[in-house]
Amino acid sequence: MPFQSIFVISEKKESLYELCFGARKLSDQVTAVIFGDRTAAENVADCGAKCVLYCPTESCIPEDYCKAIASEVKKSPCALVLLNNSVRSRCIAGKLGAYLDTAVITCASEIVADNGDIVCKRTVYGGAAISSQAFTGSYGVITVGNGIFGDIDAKYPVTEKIEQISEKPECTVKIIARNEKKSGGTNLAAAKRIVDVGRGLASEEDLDMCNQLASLLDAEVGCSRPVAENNKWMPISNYIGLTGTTVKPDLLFALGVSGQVQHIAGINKSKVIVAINKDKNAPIFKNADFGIVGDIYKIVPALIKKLS
Amino acid sequence: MNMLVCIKQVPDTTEIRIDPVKNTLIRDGVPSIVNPFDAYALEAAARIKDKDPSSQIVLLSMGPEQAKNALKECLAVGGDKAYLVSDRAFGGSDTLATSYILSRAIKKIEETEGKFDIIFCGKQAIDGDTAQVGPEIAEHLGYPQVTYALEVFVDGEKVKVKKEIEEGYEMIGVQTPCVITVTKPSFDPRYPSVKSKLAANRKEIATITSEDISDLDRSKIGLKGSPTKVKKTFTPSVKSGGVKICEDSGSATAKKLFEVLVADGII
Ligand SMILES: Cc1cc2nc3c(=O)[nH]c(=O)nc-3n(C[C@H](O)[C@H](O)[C@H](O)COP(=O)(O)OP(=O)(O)OC[C@H]3O[C@@H](n4cnc5c(N)ncnc54)[C@H](O)[C@@H]3O)c2cc1C
Repeated sequence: MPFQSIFVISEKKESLYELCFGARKLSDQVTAVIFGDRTAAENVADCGAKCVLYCPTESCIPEDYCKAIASEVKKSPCALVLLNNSVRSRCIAGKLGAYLDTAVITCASEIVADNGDIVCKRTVYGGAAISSQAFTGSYGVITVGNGIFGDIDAKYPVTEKIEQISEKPECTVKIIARNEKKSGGTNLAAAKRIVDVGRGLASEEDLDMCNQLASLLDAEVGCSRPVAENNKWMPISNYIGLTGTTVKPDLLFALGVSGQVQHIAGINKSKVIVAINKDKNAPIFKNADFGIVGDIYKIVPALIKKLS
Repeated sequence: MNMLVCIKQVPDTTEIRIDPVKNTLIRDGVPSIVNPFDAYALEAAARIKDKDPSSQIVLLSMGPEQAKNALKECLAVGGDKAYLVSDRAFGGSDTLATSYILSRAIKKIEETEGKFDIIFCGKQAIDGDTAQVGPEIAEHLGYPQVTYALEVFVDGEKVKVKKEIEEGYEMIGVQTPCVITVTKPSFDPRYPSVKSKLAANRKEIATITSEDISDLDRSKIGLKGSPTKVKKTFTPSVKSGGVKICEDSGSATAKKLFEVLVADGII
């Protein structure tokens, strides 16, 4: 099914630009939907979209706009909706899927036009296989990780068409409090060097050692999913992989990362991978350009000394 | 509180292997487990019941007959009753079709069990990893929803949810009836006791088929109701191995690594 128009929805500026850039490769009819006021919309007027729709959020949350967004999408006879992979976007994607009566393809790792079909690749069975899927109806919803479209190498004119979304939000839940965790805010997708920390790290304090290595290399610090999700040592936005961020640095240091397929899916676009792992059979070595069989607690401090 | 928890039986994805010769998935002999996020969802419901023992926890799973094993496991750790939705006509359903069937089944179960205040799901299934079924059930039912819950607190009719977001967490207030999807909390689900296992084994699990759901729209179920098609499935490729460095000591290894990285102009 050829999709004439694409709606890009994002709460974050960087991913909005990235998604619009990706959407423009597939269609020129791109509409950006953002959460915020008119000024926020004007700030992203050069994202590549023909039209920017803004959804004010002083008195509600982005999820409350799903029905309103679905009504906008339905004005096109057939359309795709593209979102990033954040917690919020995945929820919005599910709601939109239900309103548009279509499926959601989550965590696509590649989207290409193929004989009029839009074909998405995604990993299934916990990463053991990749499946390419296409929509069969008039609408489709896709979520993608950061970094799948490559570097933005196009500049788009500023759009004049900035409008408030026409339907009102439906406020169903209320935020009582908000608590923000430590830093985050790193832009892993754009980082040129990354120190990638896995569960080989024994305690949260040992992150100091990794941060130190990172600052000597002028690198950002990312991690595997369990380090963020189970140990909660780093914000979720810092984990790399299939369901997290896809990175493509010139140099990636994987410290105590076993190299499960889901993690590899996020790092295999790196130019050079250096892996340090004490298990010589760790699958990470199959993907590493430089494999070091050894203890990170011995090698990283020595490396820090060498680099200082 | 009258609560329903959706349970999916999934292959243990850490055990899935690829046949190196045929390049296909080896599915035989892969153990089935309760989707871990569903176990967390059940624990969240069980904790509400600990505080208010008049609460009821009903379990619902869609799948083949063997999914009853997963339901039995869950009956031993907090579930009071369990229903299995099972029918050949449901085969091939994707998330949209699945969530539609589950939402109709919930309506059907409510005829016997009364209206549910909270419908719990895991935030995602580890095999499909789509995180869509929960939000879609909520929309089919027209209920408010909170995703990625870490903890759920009940105070009368009011429900408060500690929700995980990328940058930390939010406290969300929501009215019942609602749908809540649960992520990994800081605590582990409870274990069954010998007694609770025996009791669970004695419980009957009712099966609901497509015939039992009177107002089921057949164009929305199974393969027909699934608006995507799979073009092909293949195994991911790997980079061929690179240089191995293994000196006698940590510092010698670090030195060697440093030298090769400098020599190759990488740092
Ligand atoms: C559907 C699905 C999606 C997933 N998506 C992602 C994703 O997007 N990103 C992701 O990262 N994971 C994802 N996972 C999880 C993934 O399968 C792995 O469980 C995870 O990547 C493992 O993280 P790890 O390598 O840090 O930990 P482990 O697998 O526990 O590996 C730790 C490694 O550290 C080594 N080690 C221990 N001590 C030392 C030491 N002192 N010195 C050196 N080495 C040491 C060990 O040998 C081991 O290899 C997903 C899983 C599923 C099922």
